[in-house]
Amino acid sequence: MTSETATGPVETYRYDDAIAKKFLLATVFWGLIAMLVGVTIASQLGNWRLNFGIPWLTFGRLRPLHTNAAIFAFAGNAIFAGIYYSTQRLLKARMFSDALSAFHFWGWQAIIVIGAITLCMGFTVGKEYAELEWPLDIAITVVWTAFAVNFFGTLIRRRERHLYVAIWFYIATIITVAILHVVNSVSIPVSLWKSYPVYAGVQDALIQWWYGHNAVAFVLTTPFLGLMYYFLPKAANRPVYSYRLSIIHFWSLVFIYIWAGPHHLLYTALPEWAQTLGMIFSVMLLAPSWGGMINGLLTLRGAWDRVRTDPILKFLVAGVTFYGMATFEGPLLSIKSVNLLGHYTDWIISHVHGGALGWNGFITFGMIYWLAPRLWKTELYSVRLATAHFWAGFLGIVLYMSSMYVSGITQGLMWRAIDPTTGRLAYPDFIETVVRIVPLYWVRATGGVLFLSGVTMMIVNLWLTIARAPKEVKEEVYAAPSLRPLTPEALIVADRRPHRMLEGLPMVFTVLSAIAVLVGSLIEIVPSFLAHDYVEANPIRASGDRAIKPYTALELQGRDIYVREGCYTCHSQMVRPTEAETLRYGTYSRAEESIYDRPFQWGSKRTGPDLARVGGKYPDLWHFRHMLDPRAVVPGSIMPPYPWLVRDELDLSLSERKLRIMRTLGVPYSAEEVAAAEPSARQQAREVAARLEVEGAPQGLQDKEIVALIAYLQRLGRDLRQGVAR
Amino acid sequence: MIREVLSRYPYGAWSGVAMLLFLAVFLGAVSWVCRRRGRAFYAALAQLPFSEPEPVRKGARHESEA
Repeated sequence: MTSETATGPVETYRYDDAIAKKFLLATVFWGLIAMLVGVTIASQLGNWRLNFGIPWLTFGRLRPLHTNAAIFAFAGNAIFAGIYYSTQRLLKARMFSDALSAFHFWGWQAIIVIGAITLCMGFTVGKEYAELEWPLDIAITVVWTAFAVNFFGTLIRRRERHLYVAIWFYIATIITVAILHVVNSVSIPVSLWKSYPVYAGVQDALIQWWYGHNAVAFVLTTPFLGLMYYFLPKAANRPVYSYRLSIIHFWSLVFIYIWAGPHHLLYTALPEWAQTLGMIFSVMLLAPSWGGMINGLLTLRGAWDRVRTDPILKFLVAGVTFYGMATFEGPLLSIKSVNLLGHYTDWIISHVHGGALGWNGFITFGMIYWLAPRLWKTELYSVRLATAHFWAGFLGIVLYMSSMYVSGITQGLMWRAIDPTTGRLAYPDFIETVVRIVPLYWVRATGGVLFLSGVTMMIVNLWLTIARAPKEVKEEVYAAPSLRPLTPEALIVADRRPHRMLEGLPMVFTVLSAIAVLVGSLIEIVPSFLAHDYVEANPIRASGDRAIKPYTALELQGRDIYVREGCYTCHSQMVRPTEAETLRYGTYSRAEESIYDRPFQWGSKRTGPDLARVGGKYPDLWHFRHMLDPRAVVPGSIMPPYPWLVRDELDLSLSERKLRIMRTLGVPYSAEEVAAAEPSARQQAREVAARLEVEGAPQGLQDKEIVALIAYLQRLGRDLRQGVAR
Repeated sequence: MIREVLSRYPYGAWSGVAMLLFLAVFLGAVSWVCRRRGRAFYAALAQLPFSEPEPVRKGARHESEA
């Protein structure tokens, strides 16, 4: 596609395949870890004893480790392996800097290792898929910037004028992930491993799910679409079905995807217009998504017979099909009436794993089986073993998804069931809906084990493939004409049409892509910065006080413990405005109730009941016994015990600093309250401990973490229960 | 105050205009991408993954690329 006027002298070059090899091996390693942790937490839901009473191994800490490892370690490394391999070949150039490539690789692995350790230690921001604390957020920004410089440097030094569609998807990924990560991670450090987000409540929720949904879009979708557009044609040995369709696919996808985040917040306290916007754009998203899926599947026209015998094509075709299923189900779940049934249930877990295991997993495995023999210059050790991997993985996904569909719809229907004769809930005890689905958790765990066994087969296959690879291989040297800078005259001769110019001008293209994603972002987010007018005012009590009061120093400490233990992974704090929910939990949640919540803790899953109105529902002793042994007060509960909360000393040394930071962020603490944070927290701890003692708990709890957590839980939902003047 | 100001705007009309704009841009882009004269150009672009040059100095290569 280069023309005489636009090319210079012929140059020789080599590809840096060592970096692709490294990322590929890291993909396999972290995939194994992510899935091992996944099977562990799936089993923990079946049997709480598998938490082993060890803080590091409880569900609440391992679940963020699982999601982060799956998204950023497994899928992240897979993306980088594919991008480093395909970019060099599509641009006919070695990566811009080997040093930046190495920095990117080792930096990313270091972030993963430190992230895994800190998440197990309970160092978390408490926002899903953005749990890593601020030092790691900065590290991610630095490493991502190095990757971006390396990528765009390669674009500048390329020897192919036109950018293939895969490169477009990589550009959109790099730009958008940078924007999402930086905006969502803005926080103020309290200590090395503790920070508070600058956003609060409804604004935090909107920005978090703008980020969270688009982490799915721009980490788990666009880069994988780029990989699909490169590796599927290569594996099928025929060009993509319709290049035109890929253009429409790209622009409509990046423009529409960014708006869809609010569908994670339907029926919450998010303003109605934002919810509606999120729903509409989510439904619209079906069109570009299926355009991409159809383009991928039709690429195999005339080669479908090979799917019978070629495990690589099996993985890629099944992966694209799962993409189609997930992108049909996503818009379906975004319709408010469907969402009302599916949200907070295991249906969402099924949907997510259809995408993660089916789309991301299978595309990755197909890519690995295609890449490994080429990178190590040998043949795959066993095609039959790769085929066995496919079927184990496929059966694993079927078991996983079907069990979670049944579980999720069962939950949703039981939660909303109302006895028509009495007008009361048909299943008033939440635990009834839990014990009903525990057998399905075991079916899910079995599916996970099958999927993991497939990955183990792949590891054996790769090990034996690499073992028989030639030890010393000379690097190939390639030759291609260099590109001359495009002058206006050259453009006229070489690329007469605007679109041809656009495809040859990566920086202009990058800016246009950024604009496409920024339009929706700004329209949805900017109004939330006018929060003082946008969120309903803090109501005024008959006494003249504001109804919503900031947390006391002890309650804030308790909230930090709640976040540390990952309670939000199983409990929401958002009562939706439906009859069933208000009957079960009480008055629906309002935006102003979260105005001091950093981070917001609305949650996305109800393995246990909603806690927005739990304050005052039970005596302190109930909470004490519940945390020590949940089954002592809720027979059949699957919640793990938290004995260390009664054992570990309450650390209030940072209380003053925490309140000062909150005050800086606009929480109306007085200077006196800030100065007296620690003594006042100690006083409240003594009061809680005294009440516990009266109710029958042991003496001496005033210095233990449990009193802070109880103080926080007893505060939830109480402010609006007091008399409000208007 | 913001709420009062915003309430004066005709959101229904705005939504309609935004939708028409979106459709115009989208349909315009689709019809332009699908123009007849672009066929050869896009067909050539689709071949980019297969345009990798032969190495001028070979090492051991995968047999499918030999």
